[in-house]
Amino acid sequence: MTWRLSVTHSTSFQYESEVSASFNEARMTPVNTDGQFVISHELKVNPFSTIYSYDDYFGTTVKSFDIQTPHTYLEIVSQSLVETSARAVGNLNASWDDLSDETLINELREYLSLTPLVNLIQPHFNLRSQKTPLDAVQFLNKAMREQITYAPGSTNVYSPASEAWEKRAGVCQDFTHASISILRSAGIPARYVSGYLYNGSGEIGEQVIGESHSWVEAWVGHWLPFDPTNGNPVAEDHVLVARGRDYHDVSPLKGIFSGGRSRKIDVTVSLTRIA
Amino acid sequence: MLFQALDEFLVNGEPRDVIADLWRELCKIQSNEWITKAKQRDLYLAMQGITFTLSGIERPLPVDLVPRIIDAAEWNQLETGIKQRIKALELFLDDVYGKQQLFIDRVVPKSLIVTSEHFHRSAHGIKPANGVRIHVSGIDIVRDQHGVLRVLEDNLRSPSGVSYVLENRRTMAHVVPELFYEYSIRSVDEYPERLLAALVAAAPDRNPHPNVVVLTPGVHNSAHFEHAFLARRMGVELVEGRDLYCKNNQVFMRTTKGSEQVDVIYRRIDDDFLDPIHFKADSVLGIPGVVNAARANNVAIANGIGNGVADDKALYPYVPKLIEYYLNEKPIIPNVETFDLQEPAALDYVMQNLADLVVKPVAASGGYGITIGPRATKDELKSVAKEISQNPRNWIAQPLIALSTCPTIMEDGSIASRHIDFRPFAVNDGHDVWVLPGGLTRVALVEGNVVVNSSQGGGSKDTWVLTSNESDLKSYPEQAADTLADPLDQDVVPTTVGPDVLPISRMQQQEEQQQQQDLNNA
Amino acid sequence: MLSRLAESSFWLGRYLERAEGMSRLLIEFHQLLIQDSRTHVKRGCTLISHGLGLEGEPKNARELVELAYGEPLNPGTLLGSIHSARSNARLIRDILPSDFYEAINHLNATTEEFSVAAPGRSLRVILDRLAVSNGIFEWLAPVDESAHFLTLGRSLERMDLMSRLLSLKLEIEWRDQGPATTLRSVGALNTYLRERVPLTSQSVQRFLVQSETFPRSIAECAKRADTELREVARMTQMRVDDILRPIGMLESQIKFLADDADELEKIIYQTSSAVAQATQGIGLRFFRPIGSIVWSN
Repeated sequence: MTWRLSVTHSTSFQYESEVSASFNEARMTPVNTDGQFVISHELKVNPFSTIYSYDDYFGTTVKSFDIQTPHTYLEIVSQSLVETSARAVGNLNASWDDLSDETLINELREYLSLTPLVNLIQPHFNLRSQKTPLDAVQFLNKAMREQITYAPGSTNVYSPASEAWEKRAGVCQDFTHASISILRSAGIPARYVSGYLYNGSGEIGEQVIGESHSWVEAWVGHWLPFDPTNGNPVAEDHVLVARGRDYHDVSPLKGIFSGGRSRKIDVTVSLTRIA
Repeated sequence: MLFQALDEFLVNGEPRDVIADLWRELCKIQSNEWITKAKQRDLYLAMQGITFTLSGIERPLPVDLVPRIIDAAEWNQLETGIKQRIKALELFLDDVYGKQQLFIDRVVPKSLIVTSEHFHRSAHGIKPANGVRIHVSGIDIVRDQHGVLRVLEDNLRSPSGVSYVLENRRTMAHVVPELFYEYSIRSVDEYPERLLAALVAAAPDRNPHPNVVVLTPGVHNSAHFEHAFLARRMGVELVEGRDLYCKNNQVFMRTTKGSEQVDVIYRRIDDDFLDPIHFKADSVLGIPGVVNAARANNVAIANGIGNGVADDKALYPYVPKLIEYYLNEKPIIPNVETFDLQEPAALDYVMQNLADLVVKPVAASGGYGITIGPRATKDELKSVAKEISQNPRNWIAQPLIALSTCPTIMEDGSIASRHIDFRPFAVNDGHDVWVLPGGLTRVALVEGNVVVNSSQGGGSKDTWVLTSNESDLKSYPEQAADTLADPLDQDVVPTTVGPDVLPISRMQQQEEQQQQQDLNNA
Repeated sequence: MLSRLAESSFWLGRYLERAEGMSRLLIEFHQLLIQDSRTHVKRGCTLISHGLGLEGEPKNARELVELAYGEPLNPGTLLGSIHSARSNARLIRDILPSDFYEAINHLNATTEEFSVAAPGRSLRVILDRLAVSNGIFEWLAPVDESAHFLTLGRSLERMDLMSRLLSLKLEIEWRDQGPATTLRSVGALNTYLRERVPLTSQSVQRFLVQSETFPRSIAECAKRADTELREVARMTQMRVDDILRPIGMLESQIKFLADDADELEKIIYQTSSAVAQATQGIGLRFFRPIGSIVWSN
C-alpha cells in the first residue's frame, strides 16, 4: 500500500537575551529511498535567511543557514510531501559465517564499530546463540522492550546507550542506540535511522500529532529496518530522513550560536495522510 | 648505531668529489673561529627576530654552519619522485572524498580509511575550484645505510619550516660567505612568489585578483614567525579567526574600510579548529561556516580539508600502490619498508622481533611516542607490545634505518658527523608541482640520536642544490616566460618581491668590482 | 587595514598618553601634598583620586600614589595603562617598528622597580621611557592607517585628561599653588609664563583650553584629532563627519569663547563627553567590535 503524507516539523527557540549570531544545519528533509519518494520539501526559517543545500557523506540532505541579526526568537519549519510504501527488502538469509567475511567487514566497518554514544553494553543474553542473524534481530527487537521502558526525561540527548540500558528507561534514541550497540558487538552491522512516525488511525485528512522518531537498520543479507521502541514493522507510517552511525550523524538541528541565555525549545511534528 | 651509517660528505674519510672544494674551505677554519662564527650567527638571528617557540620560550633556531649539498643529478631524481608522489596523493584525495573508486578496486581497505581520525566526512563532496588539495607539502626524506633515498613521511596538512629554509640561506651568506665561492647554488628565494601564484590559481571563479589571506592561530603559536614571514613576503594580509566571518556562505574580512570578501585562505590551523560547526565546537580559532563556504566554492581553503587521511601513517605503506594505481608508474622514490600490522602474518613477525624494529604510533607527530627496539628496555618493549596487541590499527613498524650523517659543528668548535633527514617543500598550482630547490635538512645534535624533529631540540642545515647548467640561475619571472605554456597562466603575474639574496654569480661580480675600486684608490 | 589592528593601534595611543598624563600629574600632586601642610590633606587626596576616576579613600600622599599607580589589570591606573599599552603593542607587533616595540617593552620592564615611598624618581624614569618611545615613533613609524589611529587615540586621551585636570579646580583647595601646579602637571608652566599673563586660575584654564601655541591645549588636541580622523577617512573612504561633530562643535565653541567664566566651565565638562562620543563613533565605524564570542551548541 502507498500512502501520501504531509509532514510538518516545527522547531522554535525562545531566548531570554539576544542571540547575536547563529549558524545552523538542519537534517529534516526526507530522503528518496527504497519505499519512499519525496514529492516536495521546503524549509522556512524565521528570521528570514537564505538556505543552502547539500548532501552529506551519508546521503542526507542538509540545509544550512545563518542568522546574523540579533534575535530572541528562532523558528524553523520543515514542510514535506512524501509517498511511502512498505519497504521491499531482499534476501535476509545471511548466516553467521557470511557476517565473518573479511570483505563484508571491511565494507561495513563504520557500522560495526562502537562510538561514544553507541558504547558497550553487556546484555544477559547472547545474540550469537540464535540460529541466524535474522533470528537474532527479531529476538533483540522483542528483548529491547523487556529491558527498557519508554520514559521521557530519564535520559538526555547526550546519554550513551549503556545509561538507558542500566536505568531500564529511555526514549527512542536510547532504544535505537542500545539495539545498535548489541547488534554490532554480535558482529551484525547496524545503523541509526532518524525520521518521523505517524501514529494515527490512517484516516485521510486527519491531522495527527506525530513525533521525531528513530529506528534501526540491520544488515542480515540486506539492510532490514526494525523499530525497537514500539516493535511495529517499519512501513508506510515511517518517514525516513537520515541515516548514520549514531545520533550525532543525523541530529535534526545542529549548530552554534552566541549570546542568548536560557533557551526554551518547542518542537511539534504533525502528519496528515493526504491519500 | 647498529649499522654503519653513510656520511653525506666523506667516504672512507675522504671527501666525495663534489664536496672537495667545500671540505678544503671547512678545514681552513679553526675550532675557535667556528665558535666565533657561531656567536655571529646567533647575534644575526636574534637581530632579525628569527625565532622558534619551544616550551613557551622564544629562541633562535640553530642553523648549523656546515651546509648539506645535493648534486644536480640526485636532485633531479628527488624532484621527479616528489612530483609523482604528490600527483598520486592528489588523485587519492579526490577519490576518497568523491567516488571512492579505489575501494571498489580494492586498492586500499575501506576500513583503514573510515577508521582514520583524519577522514573528515564533512569534506565529502567538496571539489576545489582548480582541483588542488595539496597546495603545500613537505615530504620527509632519508638516506639509508645502502645510500638509497627513501620517503620517511608525508606532510600534507600544514607542513612548517620553509621560512627557516629561506632565512638559513641568508644567515649562511652572512656568516660564512667564503664557503659559497666555489659553488653554483640554486636560489630558494622564489618560494613566496610560487606559493602566492598557487594560491591565486586556487581562487574560485578564476578570479585573477583574488583576496588571499594567511590564517594564523595567533602570536602564541610556535610557528607564528613563519606565518608572519610568508604573509609579509607574499604581500598579503595575516589574519586570525576573529578577523573573518561568514555570511551567506561567503567569507569576509573585518577592515577599517568595511567588510572585504576573502577568496583564498592559506590556513595554518588544523582542521579540528577550523570551523566550530563541523569540528571542535569550542574552538575560538576558526570561522563558523567556512567549510560550507568552501563547499559552495565561494572560498578556497589551502591546504584542503581532510588531507590528514593521506598523510596518515597507516596509509603510508600503501602509497607505492597508489602511485601505480593512479599513475600507472613505478614509484621513483621508495618508501621505508613498513609492516602493516593489520595483516596477521606481519603482526606476528613484528611482535616477535620488537627488539630489532622501530614502532611508531599512527596518531603521534613530532617524533613523540616512537619506540626504537634496540634502544628500549625490556619493560618498554613489553608495554608497547601490549598497546600494539590491543590496537594494531594504531601502529606501524619499520626496520631500523641508519640515517645518513653529515659533518656538523659542535659547541666546542670541532666538526663531527650527526644524523640528518631532509624535508623538501612542494607547491601545487594545479598545472604543475614545483619543488623548492633546497629544503630543510634537520640534524640531530646529540650524537647517535636519530630523531631529528625541531620540536625535540634538533637543529637545521642550509641545503644546497647545485645547478647543472647556467639556465637554473635565472630568476623566476624569466623562467616563467620560458616555460609557461598555458595561455591562462600569462595573465597571472607573480608579485615581484625583490629577492633578499642576490643569486650567487651576481654577488661574485659585485665583489670583483669593489676590489677593483680599492686597487684604484690605492 | 584589519579592524583588529586598527583598534589596538588606537588604544595603544590612548594608553601611552594616559600613562604620560598620569605620571606628570602624580609627580606634581605628590609634591603639592607633601609641601602643603596647611590644607586638610585627606580632603585634597580624595578630591584628586575622585577626579582621576579612582575608587578609594587615600588618606595621605603615599596612599594616593599607591592608588593611582594601581595594578596591571585596571587600565584606569598608571600601571594598568602601561600594561594595557604593552598588551596592545604585542597584538600589533608585526606592524610596529621593532625599535618602538622594544621601547614599550622596556617601559613595561621599568615598572618592576617602582617605589611608592619615593615616587618622584620612578615617575621620572617612566616619563623618560615614554619620551623615548614617542620619539622613536615620530622618527620611524610609517605614516599609515595604524599611525593615524595611534595619534588619534593620543589626541583624544589628552583632551580627556586635560578636562579631568581642569575640573579638579585645584585652586579651591590650594589657592596659592593651585594654578601653578595645574600648569606643571601638563608641562605648561614655562610656556604659560612667556605669555606674560597673570597666574590666575581663570586665565590658566582659558590658556589650557584655548591656546594655539601650547600643543596640549584642548583646542590643539581637538584640531589634531580632527586632522588624523580626516586622514583615516581619506585612506578608507569612509564617512567621518558624524563622528567629528562633537569634536568640531567643541572646537568652534572654544574658538568663539567670550569672557564668560560659565561658558568656559561648560566647555571643560563637555570635553569628556565629546571624547566618549567620538570614541564610540570610531569604534562602530572602523573597529566594529564583536566582543569575545563564546559559541554554545
